[in-house]
Amino acid sequence: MRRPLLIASLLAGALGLAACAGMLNALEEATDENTVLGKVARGANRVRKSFQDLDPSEEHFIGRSVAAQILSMPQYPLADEPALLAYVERVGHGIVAQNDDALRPFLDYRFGVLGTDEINAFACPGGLILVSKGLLADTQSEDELAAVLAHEIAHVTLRHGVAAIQSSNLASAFQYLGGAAAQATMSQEDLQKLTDVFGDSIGDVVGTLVTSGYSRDAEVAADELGRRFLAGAGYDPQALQRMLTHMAGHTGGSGGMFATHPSPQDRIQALGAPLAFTGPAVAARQQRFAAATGR
Amino acid sequence: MRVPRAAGLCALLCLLSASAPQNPGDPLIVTRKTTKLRAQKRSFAPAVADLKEGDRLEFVGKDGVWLSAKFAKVSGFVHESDVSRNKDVRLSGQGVRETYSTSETAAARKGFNPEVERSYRAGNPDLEKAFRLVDQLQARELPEAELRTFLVEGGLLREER
Repeated sequence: MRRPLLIASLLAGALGLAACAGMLNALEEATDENTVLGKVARGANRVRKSFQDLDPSEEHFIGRSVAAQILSMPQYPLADEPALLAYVERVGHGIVAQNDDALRPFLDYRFGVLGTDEINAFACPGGLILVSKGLLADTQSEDELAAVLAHEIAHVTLRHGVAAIQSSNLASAFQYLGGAAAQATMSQEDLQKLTDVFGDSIGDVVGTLVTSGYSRDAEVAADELGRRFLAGAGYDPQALQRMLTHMAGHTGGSGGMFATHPSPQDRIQALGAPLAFTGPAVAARQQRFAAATGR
Repeated sequence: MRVPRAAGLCALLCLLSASAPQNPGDPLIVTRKTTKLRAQKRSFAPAVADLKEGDRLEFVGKDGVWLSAKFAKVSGFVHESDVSRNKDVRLSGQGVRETYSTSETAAARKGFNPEVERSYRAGNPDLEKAFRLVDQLQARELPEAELRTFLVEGGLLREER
């Protein structure tokens, strides 16, 4: 058999193999990586096409740079309030721990409080969630604080952050990153190109989080899932509607969430009938909320 | 024409089995920095093994989002978003093991990783202070026992509701 035909045949087979990780793994194990078939099998590993193909550690590094970009903006300083931060962390981690369907990112969730009166929150890819003091001031109970965090955890779980990366940037990134059979180290030129694409991808996410906002569908989906997370964590799922009602009361509100989210009235309507809540009112929750928020 | 037929057969088998469930014995690679193999399929169940990124487990079965798996002859449960069944999963750098083959190592190291972040930071020195703040936030840990106490006091712990 002529060599080009042999290679073409192997590649055709390998493309079929790419549909099935289990078979690929079996073929990899059955072949030596120095043989032609072994190299083709390894090179045919996952064909990465969309943000869903980003692995958890990659999402983590994207999220770190997105958070750094936000924290470098003069309007979003990090607040130095350890007790408030510790409280937010406990509420947030509690939601995740009690909801099996919440995504577990590479480094788990991390939380930060922004020292601004602007009503806003950012869910960076990889689970770093930044919430403003202005938004926290709008909450009147631990359950409402949990509603804010559950909505952001839902954005992370639904991977809305990395979905904001333009497909052209992802395609370029995957091209530079290449397949499994490519050389072990990247040339300086390729690293620079990849860094440029990485920077453009960060720009896509930051632009969406800070300026343009997610689509209405994405926000409604995060509200729906967030409400389920609230109930799963033992909180009153109606706290989300109450929180949105507070926000709707800011007549003439602009900037922050008002600029990047659908109107609170629209979100309340999209949520539909409130979910029933039969849990007890726990005084300890209100006491610790008051202590942590200084009210 | 033995090779094209073999390749075609392989492709057909793959397409037929693409939606098949994972088989017992298949490898799972830990994709979180750290996690735990637990005695039961719930968040606060006792840990039977500490896992780190890059550790390889053996798949046993699946029940919802929990996978039963073996690690170093110890059996337990791990959350499905803690692991990948893809052998070419990209890891952060620390996760790559000496036991990995050359191609596995190459794949694991070729993603958005610390090398890319370093390169990005070198080109954006004005972000250094903000990256240090990110490091501070990401260094924070909440011990599981403290979280459990917080949930119990708030009447939130699932097992006690």
